[in-house]
Amino acid sequence: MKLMPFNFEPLDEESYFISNIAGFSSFVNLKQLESIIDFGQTFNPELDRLLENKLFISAPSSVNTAIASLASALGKRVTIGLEFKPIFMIVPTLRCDHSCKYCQVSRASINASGFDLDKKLIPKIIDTIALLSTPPYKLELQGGEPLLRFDLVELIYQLAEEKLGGDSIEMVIATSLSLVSDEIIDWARSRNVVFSVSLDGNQLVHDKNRIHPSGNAYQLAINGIKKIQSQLGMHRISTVTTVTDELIKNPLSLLDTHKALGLLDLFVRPVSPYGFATTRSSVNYSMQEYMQFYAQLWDGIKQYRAQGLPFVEHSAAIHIKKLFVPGFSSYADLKSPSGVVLNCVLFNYDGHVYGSDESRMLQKVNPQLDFSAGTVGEISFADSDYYKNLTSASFNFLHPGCENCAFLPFCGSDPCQNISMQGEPIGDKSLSTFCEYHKSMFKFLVNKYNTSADDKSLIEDWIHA
Amino acid sequence: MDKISLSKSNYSEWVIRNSLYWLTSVTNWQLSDSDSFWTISLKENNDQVVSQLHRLLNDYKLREIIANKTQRITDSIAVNVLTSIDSRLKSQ
Amino acid sequence: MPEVLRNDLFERAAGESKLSGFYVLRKCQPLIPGFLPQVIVYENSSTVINPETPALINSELFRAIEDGDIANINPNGKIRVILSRRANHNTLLLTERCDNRCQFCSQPPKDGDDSWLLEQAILAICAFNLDGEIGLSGGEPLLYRDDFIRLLDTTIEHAPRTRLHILTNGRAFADLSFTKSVAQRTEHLSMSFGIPLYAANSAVHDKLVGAEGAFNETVKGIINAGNSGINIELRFIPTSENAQELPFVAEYANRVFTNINQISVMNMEPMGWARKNWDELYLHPLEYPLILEYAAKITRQNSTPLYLFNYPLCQLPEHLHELSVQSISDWKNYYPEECSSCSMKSQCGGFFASAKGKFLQSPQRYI
Ligand code: SF4
Ligand code: SF4
Ligand code: SF4
Repeated sequence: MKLMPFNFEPLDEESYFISNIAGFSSFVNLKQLESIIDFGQTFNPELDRLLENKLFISAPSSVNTAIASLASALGKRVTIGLEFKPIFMIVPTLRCDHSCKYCQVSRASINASGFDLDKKLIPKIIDTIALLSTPPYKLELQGGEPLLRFDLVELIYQLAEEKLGGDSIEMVIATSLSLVSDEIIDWARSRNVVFSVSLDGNQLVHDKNRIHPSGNAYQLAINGIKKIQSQLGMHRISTVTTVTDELIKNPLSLLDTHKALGLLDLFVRPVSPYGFATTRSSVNYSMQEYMQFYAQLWDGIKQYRAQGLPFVEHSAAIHIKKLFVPGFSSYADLKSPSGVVLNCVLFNYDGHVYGSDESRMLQKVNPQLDFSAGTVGEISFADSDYYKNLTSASFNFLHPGCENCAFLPFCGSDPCQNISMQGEPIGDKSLSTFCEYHKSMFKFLVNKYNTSADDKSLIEDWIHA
Repeated sequence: MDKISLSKSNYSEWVIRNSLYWLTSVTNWQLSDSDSFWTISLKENNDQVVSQLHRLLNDYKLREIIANKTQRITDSIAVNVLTSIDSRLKSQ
Repeated sequence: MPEVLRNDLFERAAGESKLSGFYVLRKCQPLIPGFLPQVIVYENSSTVINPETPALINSELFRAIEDGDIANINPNGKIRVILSRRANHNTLLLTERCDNRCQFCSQPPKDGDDSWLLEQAILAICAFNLDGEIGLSGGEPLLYRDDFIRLLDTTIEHAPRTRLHILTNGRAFADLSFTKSVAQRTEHLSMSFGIPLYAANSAVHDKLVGAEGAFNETVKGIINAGNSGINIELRFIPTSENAQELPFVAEYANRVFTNINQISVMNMEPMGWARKNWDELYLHPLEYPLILEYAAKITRQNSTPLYLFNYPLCQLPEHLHELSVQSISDWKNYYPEECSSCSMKSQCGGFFASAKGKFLQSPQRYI
């Protein structure tokens, strides 16, 4: 048998995860790995057949077919990755009634002026969206706190409905829920609107970092969640959890908080290393500690599932889909080429347009440079050196460090993070938090998949989550 | 700083440099070489770091063999990909 | 004659004129000269209007056809309706030659020049001028490369609403320039190609299709065709030799191939060589439900659907019923005695008409 190119990653002393550019993967032990490399086979007929079927080795007479197949698979991945399927983010205001410690975008204080979107720009924004994409259109309202300007939210929806069609828009409002009134609920009832709220844990954990002048950020969020659930339905609200030093110590509290609310979907992630977050005292944990936290959370989820509560943690689900679902590339933050521009277009309150939320953060931290692609009505991503470099620098199979990594076909690249942390878009992977986080998650998941039947079946469930 | 010496006939520059690339997250290091030896100076030199380095070296030696044995194949895959993306874009 | 749902075979009455070849069957006047000679079918002799024109008097045939159906009348007087507006499937045989020798081939290939079949098929397609699908099969229908292209061009010119479904082993598409010339025609004519791949490795595939090198050409062919924008239905027949390969083929299809519209898993039909090799190859579906399930799981994660064809429902675990398509052509399927009291009969495709004796696994009806 002929050896075909592949990558491997050690999981523990004995087991290796192997993958190739087509995205096929499997597990072997060290002896088998060495035998494949030396002889092009393991001498275990069943395993050799599997390795041949997955293009790790090839019959001598089929080498050209294997080459054509690997190439076709890689080409397919790149073409799918290059499809332009953006989420449109709109920032109606940068003002916020909270002042969370790790707030990524920074924010403007509630009474500040000059931080709201000009009404007159909204029709142009909607026109631009119509021009750039096809239905269904995904709109995401970000802040600040979008509900501070509910009038703008209404107007955006109304114009989008008129121009794009009510059935072809889906709107997500990212909010802390402190301001959900009956008026807002009534408005949302007959519209394609869902709410996304940050929920970092129980009251203690949440209020430690999410600061509302009332001192009651948690209670406000909970009240809002219950209100939406009872009046609009369970599926109209989802949560996002940013892991802080407080939560790290008590992973199960997060599950209890969600369980009490009847919420079985979690979206858990470490604090983003952008701009402001890491300079604050709320994150002192290492990635290793994060993964210990995650392992405990995982076990907690498993226990609840055994009791009939099918929790799903969507960060892991995304990694799992990347591993096992060929062609899954709809998650902007974990893809190569990166999701910048291709998967996200952001209209900022000041009329500037960015190719990602992260670009807007970079702008905030580096005001002397221009990270935008112009202003509404006059956008060009192609004319911007920043976006040209970003996209071309985000093909991870060309990155040093990634080219030999077994998670390469499933991983992504985050050029914005690399610029923010390391000053250039490719970055040194050995120092990159992006790499450290995603590699840890992939390793954690494939190791679970390989070592326990229980975990394997959980992982297979989440493929469909 | 403690030093580790490795024979150049056993370890290519590619293997050394790639292994050290990933050692950066564990400790600081410096690399120097003579005619027949690589010398790695490690800022932190404990068992864990050294065994990590050796594991990296072994893994990269295996990767080097794969790369050498499959170089020609990798090249023709690259040519094939470009043709296949081309024809796919044209057919759309 | 098995009791199939729709009969397509008739006898010419003894005294009738010695017509033979392809004919357009007409039920009314006037005859307009076209691609094929025409013959009027009368219900009985009293309805004959014009004794001058070629005619068949056959009430059974009269009731079975629509005006404009196409029949092949052989020299012994057997009339086969080959293209019928009432049928759920219409298929034309383009050649009996093939470069594979599949162990379960239902139409065992023959050698020798039979290019006249393709010529007749071109005329039949144009004369039939259907707004619907016609299947083309073989043998290997792409064997006569340029003639096949001519078939496409003539169809585009004279029967452009026809949708063609071509059953091929795909080896011809390994030739990129041939693939390109087919791909160019897809702009003007709707067509899709059913291509079987029996394993993701050459050893198993080549053994089953009885031809060394077939795997290489078929895989390259599928890659070429898919990347050129040609629609493909990937086919798989589980046998005792290759059932366990199905999940690999499914993953291969999703990672490597493009433009696969669906994966069709087909129960083996006891016809031709499959009859001869039945004992070595046949695997009862209940011996591989896990494989079907796993393959379906792989494809469900992706956008390529997987369907099961030709499976009597009682041979599938219930949760796989939703993947089963009631598919057997209406002139090919039948229901044994036991089925008449089965509650699933209306959703079930039953058995191949050819499944008799040892080829029939006893139906386990649902009461
Ligand atoms: S970023 Fe890290 S985990 Fe991802 S492919 Fe590159 S080296 Fe691997
Ligand atoms: S089943 Fe095989 S041998 Fe028979 S016609 Fe098809 S490809 Fe040829
Ligand atoms: S008994 Fe007959 S009708 Fe019923 S499921 Fe079986 S084959 Fe189908």
